[in-house]
Amino acid sequence: MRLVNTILRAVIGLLIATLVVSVGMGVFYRYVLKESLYWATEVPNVLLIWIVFLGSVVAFYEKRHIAFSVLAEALPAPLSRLICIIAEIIVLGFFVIMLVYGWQIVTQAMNSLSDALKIPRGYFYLCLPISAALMAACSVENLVKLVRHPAPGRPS
Amino acid sequence: MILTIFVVFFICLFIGVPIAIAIGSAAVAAFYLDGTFPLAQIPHKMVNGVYSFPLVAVPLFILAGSLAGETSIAQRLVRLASALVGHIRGGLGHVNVASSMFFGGISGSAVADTAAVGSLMIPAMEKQGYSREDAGAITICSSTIGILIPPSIPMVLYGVTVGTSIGALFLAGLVPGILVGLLLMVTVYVMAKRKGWPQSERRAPVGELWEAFKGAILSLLLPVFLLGAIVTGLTTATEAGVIGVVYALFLAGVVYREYSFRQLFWITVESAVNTAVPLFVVATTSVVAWVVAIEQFPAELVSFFTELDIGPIFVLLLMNLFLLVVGMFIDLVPALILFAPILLPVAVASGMDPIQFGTMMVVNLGLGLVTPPVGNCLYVGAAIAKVDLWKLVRASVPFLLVNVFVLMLVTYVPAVSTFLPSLFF
Amino acid sequence: QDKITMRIAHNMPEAHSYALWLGKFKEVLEEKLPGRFDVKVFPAAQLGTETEYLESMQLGTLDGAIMGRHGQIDQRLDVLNLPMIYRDDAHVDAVLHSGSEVQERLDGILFERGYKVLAWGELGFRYITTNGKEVRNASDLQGLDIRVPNVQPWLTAFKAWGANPTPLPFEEVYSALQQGVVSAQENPPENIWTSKFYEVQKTMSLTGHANIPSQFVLSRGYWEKLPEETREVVLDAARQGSLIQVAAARQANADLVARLEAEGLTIIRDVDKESFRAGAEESYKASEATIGRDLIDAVLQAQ
Ligand code: NA
Ligand code: NA
Repeated sequence: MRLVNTILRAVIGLLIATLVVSVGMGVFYRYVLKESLYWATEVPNVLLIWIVFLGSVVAFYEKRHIAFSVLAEALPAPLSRLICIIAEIIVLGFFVIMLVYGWQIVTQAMNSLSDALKIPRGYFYLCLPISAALMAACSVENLVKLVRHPAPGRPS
Repeated sequence: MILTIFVVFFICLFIGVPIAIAIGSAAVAAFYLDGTFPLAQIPHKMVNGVYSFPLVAVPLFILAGSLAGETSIAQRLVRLASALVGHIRGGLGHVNVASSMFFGGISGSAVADTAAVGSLMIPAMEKQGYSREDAGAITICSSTIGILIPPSIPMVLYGVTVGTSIGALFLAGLVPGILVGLLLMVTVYVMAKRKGWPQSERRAPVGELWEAFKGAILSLLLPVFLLGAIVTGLTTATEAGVIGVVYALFLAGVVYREYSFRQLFWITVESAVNTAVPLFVVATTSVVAWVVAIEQFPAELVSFFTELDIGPIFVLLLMNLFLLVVGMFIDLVPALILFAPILLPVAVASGMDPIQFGTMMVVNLGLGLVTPPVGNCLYVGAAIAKVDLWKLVRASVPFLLVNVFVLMLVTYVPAVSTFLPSLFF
Repeated sequence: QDKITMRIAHNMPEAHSYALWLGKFKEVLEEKLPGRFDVKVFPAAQLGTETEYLESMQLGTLDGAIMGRHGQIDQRLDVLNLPMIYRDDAHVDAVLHSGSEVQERLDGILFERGYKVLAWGELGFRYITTNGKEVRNASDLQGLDIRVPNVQPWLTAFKAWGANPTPLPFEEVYSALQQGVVSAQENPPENIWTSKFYEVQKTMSLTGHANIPSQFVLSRGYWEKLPEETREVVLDAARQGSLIQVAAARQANADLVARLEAEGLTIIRDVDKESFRAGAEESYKASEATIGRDLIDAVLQAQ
């Protein structure tokens, strides 16, 4: 997963740079060229959803999603470990469900055309199952560590 | 469905499932048990919840803020603040607060403010004889100014969630933000007399003040440009974000020449991750918002409060108390977007305007950032000050009271938040 | 018998004439099939955007919607949005409210795509407002910076008329007019009134150069699951409602012209509509490949 994370970091960095350029082009066209860019809102919107979902994978791998860990940390070690395992199983279950139904959305939205670019919106939705699959893989890795590792708490 | 969502959400939350995923899992459970809607609605709504042009402002403001905050800009702002208010009793305390007010104009995030101003000010304050917990307390309690003085990420999220003007919200936060700052400085002054906090020996001579001003003016122009562009209707908030990024790049790259390409890329990537974290919460929360809408829950809540017949003053008080408790356990962003659509109709029924209500929610939930057990600024502040969490909490109490006072003002005096926007919108 | 729930969304405010439409719809259903239906209405984009409605109906999380998306569903439906395609109210009625052959064709296209049209409504003919330029015929548009929605045939037609069409999001029109980013815009009177464009414009020409219809649809899956005996009633209820909506929109727009005049807009009534014909024809030519010339002609010639 480390390699995946490194690649994803590069990808989202580039996506943000593209986002700045695309919004900037909209401003430039409108105020300088007095013309308008027909994709000026759609492209930034699509870039944003990809940044959010791919960025979530990075945040998940780096354990940066906001969590309430006070309780788990306060409990005695064996109980704390059990709770962490349960929490991780819930997380994994959620991502598996998102993967399955997210894929369904992708296939269903292939005949729904986007407003401006007129490309199938299924491609837009692809960011969701991809990120769900990667986070699920990451979660499996966490789970394996949790079960094998005798030490309590979430590995960091 | 709503009951299931809240029960499952709190169970997941307390066993340590990340908030965004806890909300999503709660939605899955509710959809599954209810059986009316296909589960595919969840990913569909998650993506569409963040497919929004106003939300594009979030990464842009975060990027502009970190481009500005990573450079010497924070130092320049602190230098100006100390030339301005360093000579008053409790000098560095005032400098800390004033720096947060300046920094608030650049950054839209309270945690960024805690980190940037805290890491500069806390060591300096300690050297001058402040206790670490006092220095930390002033830092964290003033950092919430950052989300009131525009630009403000929470204001963008609220505006998108309930569909009101982001420009108007930015203006609405300005007066409360300045009020928090000024009242904190009064508190610092009173405490300084009691605790014998020092001041700098001399008032900065005009020459030094001018130098400090020159050093900071280019940075201080950033919020002026941003707000100007939005308020005059020249650009949308999102487009203003690009102007902010370009300006911050210009300052850092051309004027101050501080970045290598490597650093620049690192800042960009970090901004992307810092965007993904709150917006992933927005994604899963929008599923809950959809359930709340389709169950027509806010209407029920309004009629509940109408039947309760306790008058708007108490309704608003109850709402504030509820949000304060919520803010103790749930982070600002999820709490804001989860409860804004639910509570807004109740607030409107009590005679509140959506702009005023948004300001109230941001002030209120901003308090949650510095209250235990869940408070991002509190944790970051404690880490920077290297001080025990509970000591920091105790030291924060007098400053927190200032925030509560401003909260009451915003709640019961509409003009505090609505006067400025009414001039422009 | 179980109550049948029907969830209908639209993105107009609660007080819009769509409320009259849905109000009548509910009333007729209740009168003819007491207690059979529980119709829930979600106005003001509570459930998302129109694009989301389309997909949600396919997913089965939404049963129906009133919306104005056409080309996005099927490019042939762009015919409904062509400039100068409708001559007047009677012509709109002939195309969309008479059960004519061309209406059946349009309904058929939507059905192919998974949506059952119950009835059509409208927001009204669109008029051009400017910051002073009096538009009496197409050549008066020469060099005018005008905001138009992002609809390709309109861009083509406005260019053919000599204007510089600028597609901006609707929410930004007011400030763009105020700032002088554009000096003109076009909308039905209702939008001009509710968005206060009259504050930043000086003239309104009754060009009636376009009219975007809206359709009340159910998802095909939902429609096919409805009990046989209820379908005719549902259709009839939606049609009765649409008659009220269309009449209300037309009346309101007519009244609003007078109110906008009272607010200080100079109303240009003597517009040479035929002068817009040639430019519109250019946009038809450009759209022929996707729409099909025979469908364009069928709409143009509907009686
Ligand atoms: Na700010
Ligand atoms: Na501070």
